[in-house]
Amino acid sequence: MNPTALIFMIAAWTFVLGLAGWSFYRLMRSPQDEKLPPPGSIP
Amino acid sequence: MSDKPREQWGSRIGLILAMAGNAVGLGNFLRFPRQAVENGGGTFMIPYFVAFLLVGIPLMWIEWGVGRHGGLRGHGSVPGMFESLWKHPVAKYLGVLGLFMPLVVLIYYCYIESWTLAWTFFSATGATQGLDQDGMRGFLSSYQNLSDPSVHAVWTPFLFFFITLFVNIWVVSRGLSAGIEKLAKIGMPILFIFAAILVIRVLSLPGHAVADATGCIGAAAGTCSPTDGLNFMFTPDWSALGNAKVWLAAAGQIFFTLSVGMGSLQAYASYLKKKDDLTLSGVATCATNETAEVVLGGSLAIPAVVTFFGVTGAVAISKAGGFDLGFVAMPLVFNQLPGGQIMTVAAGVMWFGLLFFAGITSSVSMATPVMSFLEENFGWTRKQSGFGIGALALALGLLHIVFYQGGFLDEWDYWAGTFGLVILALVETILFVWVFGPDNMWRELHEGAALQLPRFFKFVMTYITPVFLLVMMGWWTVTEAIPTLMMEGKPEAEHATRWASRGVMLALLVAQLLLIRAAWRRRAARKEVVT
Repeated sequence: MNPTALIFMIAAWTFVLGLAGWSFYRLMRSPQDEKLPPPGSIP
Repeated sequence: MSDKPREQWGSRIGLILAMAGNAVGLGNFLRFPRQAVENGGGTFMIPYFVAFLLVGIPLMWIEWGVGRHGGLRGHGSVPGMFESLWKHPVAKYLGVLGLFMPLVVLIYYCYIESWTLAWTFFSATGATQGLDQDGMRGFLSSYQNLSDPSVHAVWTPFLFFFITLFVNIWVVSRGLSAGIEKLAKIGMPILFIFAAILVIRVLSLPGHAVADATGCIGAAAGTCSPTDGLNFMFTPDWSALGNAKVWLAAAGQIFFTLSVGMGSLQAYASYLKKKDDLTLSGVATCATNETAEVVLGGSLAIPAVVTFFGVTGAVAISKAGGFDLGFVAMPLVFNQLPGGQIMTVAAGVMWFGLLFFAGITSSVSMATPVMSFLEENFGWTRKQSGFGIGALALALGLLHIVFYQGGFLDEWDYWAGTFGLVILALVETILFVWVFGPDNMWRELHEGAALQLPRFFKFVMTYITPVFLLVMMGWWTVTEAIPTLMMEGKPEAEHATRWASRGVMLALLVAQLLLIRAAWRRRAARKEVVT
């Protein structure tokens, strides 16, 4: 493959896949919705 | 506004898949590769990613913000959302764009989507096997043109349109979590799996003898390979960087691919809770769409077509339009795949199946704003609003089928599906950033945020994004809108159909303006105060 085309392709793929990987990793690490305690568990 | 409690998303991943499903559409696989090869190849990626950062992601956050802000005040569609940002009687009428565009696009998009369902069926039954290029073009043309029953019976496009529309309405009528979210959770993984399998198959193809191998590595031997397709897609043409048209084409592609300016992202975001994250979820949505577009969309059609038709052939097919690429060239490629009949059927079903899922996850989002409007303002149930819109879409969709050749659909696609999107995006950006205030906008975006945005983006959203949109609108007005309005280059025989098409659109717009007036009168009668 043409080296400059390869560089552009790898750069584009790295950017979008990196952004997708990073954002989903951060999403999985961030707390989900706050869950209310079950009814009756708070005196 | 209705007193009923608003629905909510079942899970965060369901929300992101639904939002990404809204964004990932036919354009990711058919429009993007054509735009890239026509606008500088690899160099196109530079303005493309610049536009992604300066227009795409900021607009995604703006639409999520506008949607949640309105949703928390009981508004699931843009008229109410605009009024909650700007307490002025005109605001709700400006919001008509957020009802008009999704409804208009839904109607003709369902017709195009029905082609993908039909071609999935034709691929599965082997109807396109053994056809040459002229035969394949005739196969498509007979489907689009009712006066040419040489291949398809007249009722065939009606049948597939009816099925497609019914499935869409059935999904949206089931509700947010049980319908739309479930579809996204099933459809999006299938789409990505089908696309990944096809990419692997296409990129592992051996070199193939073509009539004109100019521009291919194996030109001396008369062969082309998928590598030539990737070279064709990504080899930079540095002179393109100095061309304003390339920058605007890149911005336009980002705009269409993320489905911003439509009114549907805001409708989905209106179901968020006060402390739900917008910032990181918005990035994840954009990234999912870009993965489908750049990695999968960029590695499918062009490499496959170059392998079997050469670079010269691919240029000719690309210039003939996205439908030729998807519905003529790709089935021809599948007919020539090593592996025989089974491979041809499997590849055809996966290609058109993925296009169908890309289409339906987008079209269900377009039904949502009008449905929410009817439910919240006129007390319609979900089923009533779903089937009401379905009946309207059926009636107007038939006009598209009958008058497709006369340019009926072209007019809707341009005025509502292209030009109108920039207008809505510009209006909502001005209202959310300038009228609501940059500080309020920033605070709204960070309510419950899982990601603190760099302050650079506040500057971008306040100044760069609106200016970018203004330039885009000005450029398109001069270069496209005026010539399109004057029907320059359109055959005389199509003029009557095109004017009729505009008349129907105008009637829809006026009807929606009257509906907004009626809705607000009902509210006033109930002495409701819009908060």
